[in-house]
Amino acid sequence: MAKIKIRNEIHFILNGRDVVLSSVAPDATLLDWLRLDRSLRGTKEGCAEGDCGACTVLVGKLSAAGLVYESVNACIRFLGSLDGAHVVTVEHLRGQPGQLHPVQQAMVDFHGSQCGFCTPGFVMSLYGLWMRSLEPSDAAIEKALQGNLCRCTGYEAIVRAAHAISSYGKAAKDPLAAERKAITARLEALRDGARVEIGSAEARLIVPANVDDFANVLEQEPGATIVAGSTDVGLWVTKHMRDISPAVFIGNLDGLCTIAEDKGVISIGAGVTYTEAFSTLSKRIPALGPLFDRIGGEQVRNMGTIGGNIANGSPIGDTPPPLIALGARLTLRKGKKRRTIPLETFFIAYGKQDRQPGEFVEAVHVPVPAKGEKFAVYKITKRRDEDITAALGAFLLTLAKDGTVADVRIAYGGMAATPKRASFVERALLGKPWTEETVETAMAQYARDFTPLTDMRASAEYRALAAKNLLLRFFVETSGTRAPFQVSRNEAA
Amino acid sequence: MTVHNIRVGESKRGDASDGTLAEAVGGRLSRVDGPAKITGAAKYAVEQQLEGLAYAVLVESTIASGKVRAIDTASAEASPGVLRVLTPDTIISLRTASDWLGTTPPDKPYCPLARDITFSGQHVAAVVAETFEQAVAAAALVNVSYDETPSIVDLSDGKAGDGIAIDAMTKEWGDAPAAFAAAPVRICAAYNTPREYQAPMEPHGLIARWEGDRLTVWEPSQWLDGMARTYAEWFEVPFENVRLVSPYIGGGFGSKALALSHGAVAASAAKMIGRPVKLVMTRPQTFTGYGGRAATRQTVTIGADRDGVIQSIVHRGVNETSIDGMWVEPLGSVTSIMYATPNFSSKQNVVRVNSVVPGAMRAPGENPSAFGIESAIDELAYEVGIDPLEIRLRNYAEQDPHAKKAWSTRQLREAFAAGAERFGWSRRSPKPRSMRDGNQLIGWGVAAGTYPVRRAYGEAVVRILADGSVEVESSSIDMGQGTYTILAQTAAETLGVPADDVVVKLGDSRFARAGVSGGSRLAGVMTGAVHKAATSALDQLVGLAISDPRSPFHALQANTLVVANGRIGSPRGDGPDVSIAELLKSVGRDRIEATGDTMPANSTAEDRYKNYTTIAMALPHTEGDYSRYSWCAHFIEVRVDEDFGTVRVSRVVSALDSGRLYNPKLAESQWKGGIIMGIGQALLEEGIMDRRHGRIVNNNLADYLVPTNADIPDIEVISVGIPDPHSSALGGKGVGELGIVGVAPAIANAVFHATGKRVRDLPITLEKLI
Ligand SMILES: Cc1cc2nc3c(=O)[nH]c(=O)nc-3n(C[C@@H](O)[C@@H](O)[C@H](O)COP(=O)(O)OP(=O)(O)OC[C@H]3O[C@@H](n4cnc5c(N)ncnc54)[C@H](O)[C@@H]3O)c2cc1C
Ligand code: FES
Ligand code: FES
Repeated sequence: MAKIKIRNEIHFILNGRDVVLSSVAPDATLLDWLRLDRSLRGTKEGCAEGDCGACTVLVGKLSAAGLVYESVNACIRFLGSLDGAHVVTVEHLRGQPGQLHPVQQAMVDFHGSQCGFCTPGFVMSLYGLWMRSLEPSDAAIEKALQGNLCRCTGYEAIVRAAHAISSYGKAAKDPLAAERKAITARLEALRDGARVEIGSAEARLIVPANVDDFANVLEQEPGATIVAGSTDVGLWVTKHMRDISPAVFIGNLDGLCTIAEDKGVISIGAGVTYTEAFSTLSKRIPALGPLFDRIGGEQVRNMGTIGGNIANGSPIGDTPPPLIALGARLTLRKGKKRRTIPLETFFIAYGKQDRQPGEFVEAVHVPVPAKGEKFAVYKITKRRDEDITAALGAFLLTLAKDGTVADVRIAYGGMAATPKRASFVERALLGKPWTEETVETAMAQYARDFTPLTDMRASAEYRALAAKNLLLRFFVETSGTRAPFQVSRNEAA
Repeated sequence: MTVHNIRVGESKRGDASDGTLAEAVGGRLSRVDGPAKITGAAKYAVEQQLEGLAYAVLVESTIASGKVRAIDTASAEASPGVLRVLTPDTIISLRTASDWLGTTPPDKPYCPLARDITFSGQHVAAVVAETFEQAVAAAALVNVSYDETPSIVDLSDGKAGDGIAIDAMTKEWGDAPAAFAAAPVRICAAYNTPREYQAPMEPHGLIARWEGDRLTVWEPSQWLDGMARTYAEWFEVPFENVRLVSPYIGGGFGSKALALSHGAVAASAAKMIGRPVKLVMTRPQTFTGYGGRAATRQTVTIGADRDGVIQSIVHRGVNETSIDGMWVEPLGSVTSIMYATPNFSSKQNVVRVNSVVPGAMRAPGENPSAFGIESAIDELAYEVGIDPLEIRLRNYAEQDPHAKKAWSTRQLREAFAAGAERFGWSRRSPKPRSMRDGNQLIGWGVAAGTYPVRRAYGEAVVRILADGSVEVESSSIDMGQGTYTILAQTAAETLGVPADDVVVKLGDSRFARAGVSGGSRLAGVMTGAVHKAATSALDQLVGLAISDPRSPFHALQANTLVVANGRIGSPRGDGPDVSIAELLKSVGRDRIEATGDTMPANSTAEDRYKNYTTIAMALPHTEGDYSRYSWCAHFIEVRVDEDFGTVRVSRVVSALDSGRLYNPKLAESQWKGGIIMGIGQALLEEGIMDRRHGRIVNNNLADYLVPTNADIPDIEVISVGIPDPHSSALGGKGVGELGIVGVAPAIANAVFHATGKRVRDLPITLEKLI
């Protein structure tokens, strides 16, 4: 293998300027750096936990599709993860001489701001949206704003502003559009194929050069903290003040960010974000689309990875249950050695996964349901958007010609210490006719599969009952006895 | 450096769809501070950059009740960058300050760091360091040991008891118990609301700097003069020595009106180290650093005849307060005035629990009170089989049933009519569970709301400058409600200048004094003061133009002149026509300045001080011949998925009477903001306690759920107000708090209509419905 070049500084662009930093703590956040070091105080801090969106900035990165800008939460984004990126803050927005930027003028005229504290964050989320879509639909606006809280205005004015942006100016005249070529060239120039290593002893960070380099680094540093999108790890730092050094940033690694389908199996690299996976997954496995739309807010989906969601091992992570129901397999890699296991066996116990020191999650392989197979996933939360799951159920059903259950896989989140299959329920359904009676009978088995807990999201009794009702809902939908259950603006779950 | 200049001309004017000029009072002028906020240029209080700034971080108690046994600060002190560790033993001694009524405080020292712990999250120590990170790291090394005693977690704690009777809350007329006993129809139910939190997007914090015995505090504040008074008393310096600066406030909702213990800690630290100190609460700390809305319990019994006409209301309420503080959430406030009843009794207790002392949160009192009575009357409607809207009209109070005075204005009947019409209420099928769409049960509910008109005296300075532009100065504030904008409109209209030419300066206690921005009083008070100041400036201007020998109008011998669009001319248009700037130049003046003050003529300096730094001089809303309130009616549709108990609000139509609106665009935004906070209150918001440790568990924005965009349906607001001359100089009534009142009961009523389940315990979460 070619010798890897090592660089002891990170390079990126902040608004118009090149930034080179040789002293970066592994846990330094982009928000603190902007506000404290750079005195760019337009970006606000409302929570430091990724919940409010006041800290929203755009991060542009070079990808297969060229230069792509995405909204992110600066409060949980680590500075070290920005090597080779373009960071854009609210201060970078400009209109034509003497005018506000179209996004900003629309927000002023439609009264999208009261106290104004959330406003720069909303402006950046809307800006990110407008760059992708000049005439966004209601649904697109809703998605773009999921991760921004406003306690004052009631949102409606902001939504109306979002619709009006294009009437205030042309996208081609926008600063980022005008600079696009130049920025792309500057970012290209930053790509030197080097590994970044900064700091020593207690405060170290590493950005591997590519996936193979990552494998080497991790073998040498089995105790390192792997940081992908940092939507979990960010909170370890800002909320729990945990030490993450040495940190290995794998957010944008060559070889880890691909998603491809082969023979009916979609392989998703561990560095693929929710946003990047969305178009493939929602096309090939439509039921996953609405679920992905309800994971975090847009900023979280732009950063967070499916690999991280799995590796984190939380019992309320939203992707493991549907992937388990679909029969997904997981590839783990240590150095050059790889092994591939059924996803469900990865989750051993609460906080314990089948991962060796120095080993990492490389990819997850998801079979696309065959024609005739029925798949559904339901997420129940108190608040519709940006809320952690109270209970989540995923179902994959294959019926035989005679209408009996030929195969069924059911997995839940929020019901046990790990994402878990409802094996007893599955067994009670298998081979039986797919009827309400069968389903009713199988329900008794839930008590053997799960002993849910009470917490602030839901009581044990609620979870037990909701889990059963989800099966019933799945039955109703697959047997066509009631209108399909849709996750849309006006639905209830 | 910190003065705030807001020029109207930087933003587009706004629309004038109703024909009113956008800039005039009543016009839909766009927020003048919009551009600053939208570009990120608006500087919030703690964003000041000062030389030599040090950072303080609080250490909070981890027990809810007991005593601090010892605080070991050795490792924190040895930690890099640490300048000082403050404990109850090492912090400088302060004096106890008066409360917001101005009550003379006990003559004893005040220590903002606690030895005796009465709630979890109480400040026990603070670390000051060169950088924020260093302070955070060192704070984690402060080792506090405690002697813990059992705590009272909340109202449902067995040890909580019945509490203390607050006699001042008792309201009675007729013989309510007897009339209830005799009534053919009787309903009786208990209604509970949980702890709720203001959760403004900007966390609390401040920068404090001493220069000799002068203190400057940059702090988000709803009341600069009130807070300055507290700081002055704590540190025993003259009131004039304290300057509060608060140009923008990132939301308050009641929580930023008073100087709090974290402020005392920061200002003490600044004094002790001789450097400016910044202290900002973390989001979790904001849940215990000040009080949210107190949890409440009410029983409402209504006796009525078979036609649903109320004969008697008996109401008993309880709210929680802290172990050593007193907060009364007036639970009988709406109960006693919403409906006509010949017999009435309301009494209230407060119960001490181990919590931070609760505080004001959007419509304190009226909000939970309305949840009780507006749910109860709905229950009565079903009991007697009358439409919930009809029963409200049948019991309409033609005058204030408690004060026995005429309403100044009460457009509630109009609100019911306008809201019902727009909502399509007549198409409602009366039976619960009778409206459905696929898996979803649909319910329609109605409830009314109200908020008293709080009035006080105000002061403002209006200056006409040499270039003809106008400056308005006041130490009042704008936390988003639109003070900058409406004061520009008021000055522009009164003086006859374009709003573009008006600069409004707020948020600095060096400016003309102002009372609290709370209780929805500021707009009414301040437009009155600016109107008065501007009128007097205009009189001076016209006086000069007429009488100064150098004036081009001198020869005209007119007794008055008109000023319009920044120009002066004679009423008949037959004389000269000059700009204000030209006139000032001709008479050799570089400015005209007037202070407007709506205080009674014989007021003393002491009266003024009291008026601006306490709420003791506020005028009762039932003063004189009238009872003054704003009113609203909410019509709400919900959709409930019965299998999972999930509720979505799918439609809201609200008709509101806030009197005359100074700027409908701003008012509508306030109302809608109140309504969505009401949706949060109804469905999501609740402080959840860890009963073992007596501490709040959902102290962050992931778990304390406030509404997101997707929770909010189409909201339509309709203004049904008419100018109310008894409520304010320009005819407006309160706007900011009104919108939230009645939303939660309207939703609970809609949920009942959808499901047949009556939820009397907020919030209406999934598990309460399956
Ligand atoms: C506001 C907010 C809302 C959220 N909402 C939801 C939600 O609705 N549903 C939901 O499921 N989750 C939610 N999450 C959490 C979710 O974003 C994460 O679980 C995310 O998927 C983790 O991915 P990441 O790339 O950010 O991982 P990181 O935070 O970078 O890492 C997570 C964990 O995985 C490890 N890790 C990462 N990559 C690898 C790898 N390749 N190999 C081995 N270990 C690895 C890390 O060391 C760490 O332990 C939310 C988070 C936030 C902040
Ligand atoms: S500060 Fe709230 S999401 Fe970052
Ligand atoms: S305007 Fe205040 S939080 Fe949005």
